[in-house]
Amino acid sequence: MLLWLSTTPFSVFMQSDPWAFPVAESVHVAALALTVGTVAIVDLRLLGWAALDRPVDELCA
Amino acid sequence: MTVEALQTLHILGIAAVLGPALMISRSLWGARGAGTVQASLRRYVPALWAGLAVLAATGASMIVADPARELGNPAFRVKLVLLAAALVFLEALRRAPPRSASLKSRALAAASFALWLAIVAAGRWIAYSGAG
Repeated sequence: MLLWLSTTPFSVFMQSDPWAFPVAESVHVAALALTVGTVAIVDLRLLGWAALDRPVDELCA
Repeated sequence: MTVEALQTLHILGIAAVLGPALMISRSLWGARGAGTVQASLRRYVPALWAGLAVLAATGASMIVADPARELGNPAFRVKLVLLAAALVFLEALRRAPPRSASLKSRALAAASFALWLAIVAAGRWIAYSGAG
């Protein structure tokens, strides 16, 4: 199965294109950071540790 | 500390910058419920700077660990220039916040957030653009 996967056209493209892997990594890191960053903002509010002057409804709107 | 641990902390630092950067850009854009630019700056700039401090500390450690990999790497130089531009923009925004939801402020909101994303991409590119 692993062997089959590594021979699919998409896999070959990801392996051989000089831009494909770095672009995928960059998008992955940025999306990861945005997920963690925005979740942290909401969680800190829900924990009551930050932004207490701001209603949760508004933050989550 | 291992380079892997430094890289992990570096990515968490990126999260601490991109979250606040997104919130500031949203208020500049005039997004619903995002609040004024001034309120957004007051709320999120401290966290953004804390993230930048983590990034500077972990980044400097990684440079010291392997100076040839970063210094002299074209992607690293591009990253520093983009970072300087993002910081200049942030300071300009703090001094004279434009009216949000105008065409100009929306363009600035999109451009400044794109700048942060470009810095992240340039950082990842260090692994590919160096002499090795």
